[in-house]
Amino acid sequence: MRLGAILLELERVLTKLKFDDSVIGYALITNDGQPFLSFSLPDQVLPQIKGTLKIHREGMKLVNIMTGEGIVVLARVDLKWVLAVLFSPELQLGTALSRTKDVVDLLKEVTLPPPPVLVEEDEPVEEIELVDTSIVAPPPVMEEEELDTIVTEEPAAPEEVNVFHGCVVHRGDRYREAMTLDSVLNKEMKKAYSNLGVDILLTANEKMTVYKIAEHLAKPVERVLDVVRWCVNENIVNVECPDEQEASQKEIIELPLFEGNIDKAKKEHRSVLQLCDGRRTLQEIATELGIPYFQALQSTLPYRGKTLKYIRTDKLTRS
Amino acid sequence: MGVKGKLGWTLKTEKVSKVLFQASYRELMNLLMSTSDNVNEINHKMIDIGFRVGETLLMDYADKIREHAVSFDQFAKTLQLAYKVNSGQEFTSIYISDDKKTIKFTDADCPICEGVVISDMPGLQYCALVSGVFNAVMKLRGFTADSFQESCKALGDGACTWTLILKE
Repeated sequence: MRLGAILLELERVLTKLKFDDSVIGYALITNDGQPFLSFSLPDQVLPQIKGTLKIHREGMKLVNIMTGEGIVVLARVDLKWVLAVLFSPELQLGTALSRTKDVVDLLKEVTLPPPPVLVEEDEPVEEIELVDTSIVAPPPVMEEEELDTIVTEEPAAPEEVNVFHGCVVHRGDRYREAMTLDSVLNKEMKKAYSNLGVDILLTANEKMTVYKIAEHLAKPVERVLDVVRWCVNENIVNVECPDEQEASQKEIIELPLFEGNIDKAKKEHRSVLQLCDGRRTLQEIATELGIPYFQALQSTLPYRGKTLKYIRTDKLTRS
Repeated sequence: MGVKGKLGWTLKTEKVSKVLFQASYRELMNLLMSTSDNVNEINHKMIDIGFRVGETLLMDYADKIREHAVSFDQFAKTLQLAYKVNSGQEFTSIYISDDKKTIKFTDADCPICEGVVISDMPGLQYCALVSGVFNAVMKLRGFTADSFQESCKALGDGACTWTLILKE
């Protein structure tokens, strides 16, 4: 299972919600109401979500709950996952429902990872008048034995590992084990950091730094650092810190990028502007067209600061 | 009575061309990149350069600042002013932790990083010069503080954040 690819796909779909002003928060949740990949969904609405899920169970498709924080819309994604979106109270219910449904339709095309393991629940489920106690049996996806098992092992005390916000997080030898439901390691991680650990491991894509992961999950850098340090100790991930990142042979250069409508540009400028794609220098463009540098420069001048900008980026030095 | 505020910025504060500054900074960075073995080394060198710049700035401004900061968290204000005088803009936000031992300065529009897109050196702190300046101010004013750049727009983060943590 390529978690990284799944996550990218998920991210693409969920971004729709992230940039919707009427959305306060959202989370993918399991059938028993465990939030996962949550984005600023307040804890206060969880008991009501859990209660509602308990009543409706697998039969639920699309349900709304009125909470003190706003309208929560629950929509089933597949057998194991439910999407919960909290909308601001001002939004019309119909709009909230249809927006959620749009996202769920997209989510259905993504193969979601299996839910993370369950941890012991001590949070009381808010009683809702309709609760019929005869159906409060746990849904089939639950690993029931989990609830009885008492995890006796203490999580290893985080040793001082030199992990910094600028370090890139890579998967380590025990990554798979930590992401495997039921494994002792997974339980320990859950016990120590609840869902944040899994979220971080899912987000780490071999390219992101600790800071970027924190930014992505909207969590404080310090908390993410704690988890990553713990994971480094457990050999779940390893980090590539700035002192291992090579620096030589790089150079920051300016590359012209034309973003305007080429048809509106003067005819004699078009050949140069067409090559201003943010990937070659002006000198390279001039060479490619067989014209003097100064002529290429003059073709860009009328657009500079308007539809043509220079991006400065690191490139391998041509040697 | 000196000239303050907008008028002070327009009339009194000496300025340098932004293009000149950005181009010089970029070439300074290029020089560091070609003479360093790894990204960490570049970051440290840039912070060292910032430290010396900070010493010069502090000397220059010491007699112009009317109310010197006394406690650590008051530097939030002092450094805001210093940043404004030297960059022409204010920090987008300043965060002071509850225990008043951590200050995070954020600029979503950092002039050093403007237009810079670095894709290949994840741990680089492009505008770490600012951290170096903060280091100098802390040290020369008798505080022991850790200063580092936490995020950097040139590296694709949402904004540039420079963090100061008081060590006791």
